[in-house]
This record gives sequence, C-alpha cells and structure tokens, in this order.
Amino acid sequence: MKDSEQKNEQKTIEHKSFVYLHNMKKTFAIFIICCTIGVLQAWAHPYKVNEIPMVHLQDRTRYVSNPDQILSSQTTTSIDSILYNLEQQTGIETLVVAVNEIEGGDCFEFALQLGKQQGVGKKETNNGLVILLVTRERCIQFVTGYGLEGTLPDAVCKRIQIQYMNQPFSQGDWDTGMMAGIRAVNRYLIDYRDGTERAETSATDYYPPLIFIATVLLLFFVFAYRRLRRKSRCPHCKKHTLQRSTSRLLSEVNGIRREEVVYTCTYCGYTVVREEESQDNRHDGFGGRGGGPIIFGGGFFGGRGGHGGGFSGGSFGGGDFGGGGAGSKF
Amino acid sequence: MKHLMKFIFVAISAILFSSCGYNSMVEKEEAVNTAWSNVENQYQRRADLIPNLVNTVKGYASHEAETLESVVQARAKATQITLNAEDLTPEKLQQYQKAQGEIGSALGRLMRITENYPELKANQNFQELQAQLEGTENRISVERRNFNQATQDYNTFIRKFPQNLIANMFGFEKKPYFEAESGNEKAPEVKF
Repeated sequence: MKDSEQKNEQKTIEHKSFVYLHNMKKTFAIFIICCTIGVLQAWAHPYKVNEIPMVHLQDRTRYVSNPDQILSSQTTTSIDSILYNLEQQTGIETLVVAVNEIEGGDCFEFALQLGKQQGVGKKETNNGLVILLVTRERCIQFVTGYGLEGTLPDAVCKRIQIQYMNQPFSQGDWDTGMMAGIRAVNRYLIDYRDGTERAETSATDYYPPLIFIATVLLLFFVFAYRRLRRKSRCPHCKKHTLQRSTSRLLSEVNGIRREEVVYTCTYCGYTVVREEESQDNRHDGFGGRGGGPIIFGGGFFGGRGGHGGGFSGGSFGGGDFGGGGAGSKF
Repeated sequence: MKHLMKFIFVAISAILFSSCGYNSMVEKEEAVNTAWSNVENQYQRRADLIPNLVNTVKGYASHEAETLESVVQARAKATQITLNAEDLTPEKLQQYQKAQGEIGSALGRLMRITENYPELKANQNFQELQAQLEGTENRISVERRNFNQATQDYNTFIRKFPQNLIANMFGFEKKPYFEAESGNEKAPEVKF
C-alpha cells in the first residue's frame, strides 16, 4: 500500500517535471521562432525613407549607409575617406546608400526624398549628392542638388554609371562598381573645381602665407617641446623624470628673479642644481619660461582636435533638390 | 474733420491688412508664381531637347518617320500655348497640361521604338540625350509637385476666415492644381 503511494507520488513528480520541461521546450521554441521571424523581417523588409540609418550624423567622417552589408567594410572605409576629402576640398556633401529593398520600388523618388528629408548639401548652395543602390530593384540612382546640376550634369552621371558601374553591378559585384563609380564622380568634381579655380584665381593665391605661418608655429612648438623635454631629462638615468624640489632666491633686481633651483629625479634620486632667471614668481611650469608649456599644451591639443577628432557627429546643411541626376537599371 | 476721418480710415485699414494677412497673401501668391515659372522652365527645357533628340534618332531609324513627326508636331503645338502665372485658370491650365501631355506620350512612343535599335542605344550622344530627357522628366514632376504645394498653401490661406474677406475685397482667387497625369497617356503599350 505504502509502496504504491510512494510510486504514485514519484509519478506525479515526474509528471510535473515533464510538464515543466515540456512547457520550457514550448517557450523556447516560440522564442526561437520569434527570433527568426524578427531577424527575417529585419533582413527582408523594404526600407522606408526615414528608416535608412544616417551614419554621417553619428560620425562626420562617414558617408556610406550600408545597413544590409551589401558593400564590404573595406569599400565603405575607402569611399568614406574619398568623400570626406571631397567635402573638405569642394564643400560638396554626399550620401551613399546601399540597400536590398525599398518601399515603393521607385529609386528616383526614394533618392530624392532621402536627399530632401536629410537636407544633403549646404543650404546656400544646394550642393548635395545622393547615390542610391537598390539591389533588388537592380537600380543605381544619382540625385544632384539644385546647385550641383550645373557642375555634375545628368549626362555625366549617366556616363559614369554606364562606364563604371552597370557592368560590375549586373554581375553582383557591388564593391567594384560602387568603388569605381565614386572614384569617377570624385575625379570629375575635383577636376571641375580645379578648372574653375584656375580660371578664376590664378594671380591671387591665399595659401602660401597661411602655410608659412603654420610652419613657423609648428617649428616654434617643436622647439618649445624639445626644450621642455631637455629640462626634465635626468643627466644620470636619462629619463624625463626631473622635478623641481626646492629653490633659493639669489637676487631680485627690477622684477627679474635669480634663483638656485634644485631638481630631483623621481626615478633614480639624482639631484641637479640650476641657476634660473624669471620675470615674476610664478612656478607653474619648470620655472623660467612659465608660459611656454601652457601655450604649448593648448596648441598641441587644439591641433589634434581640429584634424584627428573624427568621431564627432556630422550634419547635413539643409540642401534642396530639384530632380537632377540620372539613374540606370542594370 | 474730413481729413481726420481719412487718416483714421487709413490707419484702421493698415492694421486690418497686416493682421488679416494681406501681406502674407501677396507673399504666398508670389510663391505660386515662382513655382509656376519653374514648372514652365522645365517644360521648356524638355522642348529644347527635342530637336537634337529627333535628329539623333533620325540618323539610325529614319524609317520611323511617323513617330518622329508626331513628336515634332506635338512640340510645335505645345510651344504655342504659353501660360502666364497671372492668368492661371483651371481651363487654361488643363489646356496647357494636355498639350504637354501629348509631347510626353509622343516622346514615350519614340523612346520605346529606340529599344529596337541597338546601335542607336549604344551611341554615346543618344545615351546622354536620353539621360537629359529622363532628368528633365524628373525635374518636371518635382516642380509640378512644388507648384501644387505652393498653390495648396495659398488656397488654404485665402479661404480661411478672416482672410477670405480681404481676399474677396482685393480679388485674390483660388488657383488651380496640376492634376495627376491621366492614365491612358502614360500607360505602356502591351503587345502579345
């Protein structure tokens, strides 16, 4: 009697755990199905104009929106650098988008709305350029802003597509086609700019003075830096670990202080005694030319911020589009 | 006394105009006029492309004389109809649109024929003309849409109270829209 009860109990426990396991399996299965559907949807669903991720707004050095990974990361990087350079030189803002599918299926309309909504191009000059590749529609579309229509006429857009893009695209070689097309566009725009510049300002060139000043400043900073480094260098262990420890005033005539300063190396403990002259009694640097390091630090980081800080978000200038450009089916 | 009354009348009407949007009406009407001239420019641009295009096609497909002729005639007819922004009436706009629509459909037929001439299609001059033509068609549709938007903006403004009183007084009238191209003009021919 007892045995059978125990058995029964065991059975119910087993049953319960079975039900539990079964439920878990079910939930897990549902979870997996949901995930797959989610992934499939994200993968296969046609983009709306406002769903295209704008990488340029996060990072101003990036111009290629490639959410479906149609282009390789190598291609995107080199296109980014070409287009960054183009914007620096000519001010022309470009947006490149490569997707599998778009809503509506009208490449021209989509590219136009993309340019208008994002405001690609400067507001005053409307010099935006949108390049859209939609693999499922088998189309490549250029759209030029109002102000770019004269620089990059429709016929040139078409010629670039025919010469460089359509052939590789028709074979599914997205990287080659896009790369060659962007290169051609860049070359054309740079050549155009050079042509007009030579015609306009051949006599008055504003660059040499700027370059000269920049060089002088740079040399100054380099010398200041080396001087500073030399000052902090320990003659015993050759490490830059000398620090001012004590000082004794020798004389003070007409606001010029002469002091004897003792430097101690924090690495090997070696001490150096130097006689120094200074204008006032500030000791914020290594004595002597106290202003030097401050100017130097500012200059150094300022320069870095201007040229190397490539991770800040960019923006488009609000350019408008009037339907210029050309498209091809491949 | 009469002088004073006159002054008061002018002052009151000045306040009325500024608060009831007379100036905005003028601005919005001017925006419609600008949009209209943009539309006309783009149609003109298409008309300017036609002689060159026809000549190029003639060089390769001379025996398609009928189609070529229809394009030239449609162009001749349409260039006769010009429409000033000042006298935009629904009838006149429709007439204008119809004439331009005929160019459009004649050009459509011409471009379909060119599909049969691979040598023509490979001609670089023709390819560029084709690109220009496509670009112009795109520009036309963009400018038409801009025109409709400007017109809608203007129309809604002048029909709202109290602007409608001022609008009636000074003869600001509702302006017509471009209608969507009627289907049969652009429908592709299907042959089995």
